Amino acid sequence: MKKKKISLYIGIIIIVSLLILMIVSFFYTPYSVTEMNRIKRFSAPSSEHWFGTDNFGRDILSRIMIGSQTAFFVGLVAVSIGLLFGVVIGAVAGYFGGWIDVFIMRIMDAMMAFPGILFALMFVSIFGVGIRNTIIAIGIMSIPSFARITRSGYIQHKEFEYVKNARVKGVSNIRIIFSHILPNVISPIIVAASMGFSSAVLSEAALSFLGLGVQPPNPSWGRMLNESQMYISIAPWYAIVPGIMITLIVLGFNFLGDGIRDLQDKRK
Amino acid sequence: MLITVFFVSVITFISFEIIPGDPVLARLGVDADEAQVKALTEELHLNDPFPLRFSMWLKGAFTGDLGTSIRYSRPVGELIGERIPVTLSLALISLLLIVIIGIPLGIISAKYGDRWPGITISLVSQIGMAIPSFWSGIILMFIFGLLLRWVSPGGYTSWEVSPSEWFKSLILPAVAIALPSIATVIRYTRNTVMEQMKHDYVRMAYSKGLKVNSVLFRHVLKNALIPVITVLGMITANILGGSIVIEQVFTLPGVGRLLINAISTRDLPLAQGMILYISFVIVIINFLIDIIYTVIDPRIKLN
Amino acid sequence: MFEKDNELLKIKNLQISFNTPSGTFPAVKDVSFEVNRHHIMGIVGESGCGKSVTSLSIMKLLPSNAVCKGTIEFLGADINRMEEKRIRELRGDDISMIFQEPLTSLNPLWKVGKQIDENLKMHTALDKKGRYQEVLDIMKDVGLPDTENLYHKYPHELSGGMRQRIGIAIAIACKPKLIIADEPTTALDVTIQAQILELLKEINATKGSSIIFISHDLGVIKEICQEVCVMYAGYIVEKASVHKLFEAPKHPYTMGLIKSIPTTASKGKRLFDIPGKVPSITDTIPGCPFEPRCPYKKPRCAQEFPEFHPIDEGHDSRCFFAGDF
Repeated sequence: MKKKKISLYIGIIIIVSLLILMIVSFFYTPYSVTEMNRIKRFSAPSSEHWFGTDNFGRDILSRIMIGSQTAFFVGLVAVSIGLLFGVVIGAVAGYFGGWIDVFIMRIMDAMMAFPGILFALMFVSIFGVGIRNTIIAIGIMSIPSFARITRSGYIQHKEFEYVKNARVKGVSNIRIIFSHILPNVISPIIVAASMGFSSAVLSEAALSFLGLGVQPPNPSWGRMLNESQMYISIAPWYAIVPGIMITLIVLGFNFLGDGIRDLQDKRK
Repeated sequence: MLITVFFVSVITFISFEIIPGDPVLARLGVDADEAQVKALTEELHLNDPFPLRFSMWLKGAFTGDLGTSIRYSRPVGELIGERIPVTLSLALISLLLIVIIGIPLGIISAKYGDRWPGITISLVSQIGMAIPSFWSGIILMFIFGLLLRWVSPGGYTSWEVSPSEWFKSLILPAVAIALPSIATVIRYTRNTVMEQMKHDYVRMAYSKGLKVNSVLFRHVLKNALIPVITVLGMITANILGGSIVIEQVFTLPGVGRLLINAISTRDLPLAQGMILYISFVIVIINFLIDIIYTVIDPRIKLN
Repeated sequence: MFEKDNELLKIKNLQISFNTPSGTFPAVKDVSFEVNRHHIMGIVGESGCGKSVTSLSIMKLLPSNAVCKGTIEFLGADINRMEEKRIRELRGDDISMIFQEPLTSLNPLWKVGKQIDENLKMHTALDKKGRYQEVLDIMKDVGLPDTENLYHKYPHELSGGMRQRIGIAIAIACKPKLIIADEPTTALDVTIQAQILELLKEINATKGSSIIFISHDLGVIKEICQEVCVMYAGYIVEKASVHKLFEAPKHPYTMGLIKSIPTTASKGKRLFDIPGKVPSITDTIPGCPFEPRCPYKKPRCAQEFPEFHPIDEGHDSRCFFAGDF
């Protein structure tokens, strides 16, 4: 249905726009992000400063642009970690079944019952704050859901003809898992990856908001929200913009994921 | 279930052992007297072998003694106990909002399927899921606390002091926490209801002459809610996690804020005790959810 | 042949198509038949011929993307043009339905007794106690044992045959004038099948409900129906009393169906199968829809479309050469 494809298009438009913003930010921002200007502190959005300035007089638009780099970076790496371990764990559990499956899934279920932020807090309190540990913590948190989706696919496909044929032919299990079955079960995993991206961005924002995530000088929309909270009565725009950006990128990846899923459903 | 608790407690204990930094020095200060350090180390059993310390800690936990906070010099259990009412109130109001708003909207969205009310609700819920809760908290506090002054911006009033103030201090944070979960519940309910509508027994219900709403509420709802209960576990995790962050935004003296303090100040006993406690609560909640399952669905028997 | 006040249901030139995103598809292209009081009419055909869709349209249970043209007259009023409220009054009360799959057509979370009770609650003025008694009586009528205990059981606790009896109980609860039975025995095993057929015949005899019995199995139709319509690719291709149909079928498709009924004589031998496939819903056919598979086809069949016409008294066919058989 034409209506369904709207999801996909909106998602793509949003993501591509943000990507362009990010790419541009590597080469150009209207002002330097570190340039502080005491006179211009807390100036409202104007033609000079489209999003206004913050408590140090820094241009908010420029900081937002640079912040997009962190958002995409954290999302990408965290999801990659989650995918790498999650898919392997899920494949092993689903393909081999038996006590391996039970054992693995018990652990995954326990992890999923735990609020992600709690785990992330524990992690950074042990290993320290900062962008690297933030990414690792979020990556680990995303493993169970990837594992679960992968596992379903493998449980289903391991009974299919082509798998039985491969086994009869003597193909090694590892090859069957990765070369034969994986391409067939990858579609829902891709959808999950898109959703995983948005949840990673939300998690990083929350952590950074608490001061326990990405640290200065690395930019972060979440941390900007933390800084802005104090000054909200004098500079409300400072609190509004980073929140909108986070919402946008999350929306973008959610719509994208939905759109891809609808595409796959239609094919069936 | 108990295995999970044990598992979590082991991990919690071990992880905090790894944290660098001497808790004794943290308490007494870097320039502390040798003798004092030695005495305190003895008192806290810090020189005892690891397994012994762990079992002592675990034993203490079961009897309610989770150790003493280094920063506050008070029993961890007591500190948690003081703050539970706040977090509990917050969680309950959030849950209420989620169920009262989310499920009906999900049903309406399903009833209208692909027509415009259904699609609109779907779209709005998508946006609701994308909004970070701490941001909506800040904005809500700004609009209703600072601009309109309908509630005080932040802080907590207990029920005993004033029920209306208690409610006013909790409603905004509860909305902020509930929003993303409401959206999730709407989507989930919509999906399960729409899926149930394709079943034969729905056609049978229509063949008896029932109206659309009767079919929905008398027949479909109960069946559709079963998968929604699955999501309930995730929702409670969301509420717990959300409250940790939101308590910061609204400066509510709850369990979440205490935890953040504990971690920021390296207050090991407090952090350890809190995480163990929270994990225990999560396990119990999941267990309760399993029980709810068996009550609602006669096809499932308790293992 | 029958007097006017004996007429219960009169369907004329029924056409049903479905609007989908990929286009509009006709499922039923031209169906006309009548059902009288106390009558058992059969509709037989392979899957995809439109028999289920026809039956659902009588109670207006089709999905919202279905478009129905033609008239469905029930006791003089056209269901196709009836308002929603009136149809709901008819459903369950004057017309009811028995579904094919008893496990999925019952609400898994409701006790079976309650599901019968719901019908009574909607259409009668009985109080709670009265309904309870009535439900027990109905359960006895359909041959269920130990009714007081059974009332409180859930569908998954009953056997397939018992579940179908519950389905029948629900259908007869308000003493309907017309029961539509959509493949009621297909999902059951053979011994239970026979019992259910007996039960339906008994209901027709003692309670006077007419039955429209839908099946893909001519053998079953022969057991229970008095008259039968044979459907193919959305059309009725032959209509006659069961006796006449088996004695002297007037359409090649019917003849093929009769040949493929397993009998004691055919035991051990390969069953006859009509060669070819049922045309898909998207195929548009210029001539006779059965022509590609017909062993008697002539050039005219591929070019001209055969109308439904009477061959004999009470015997109609959609074949040009029906008279020659």
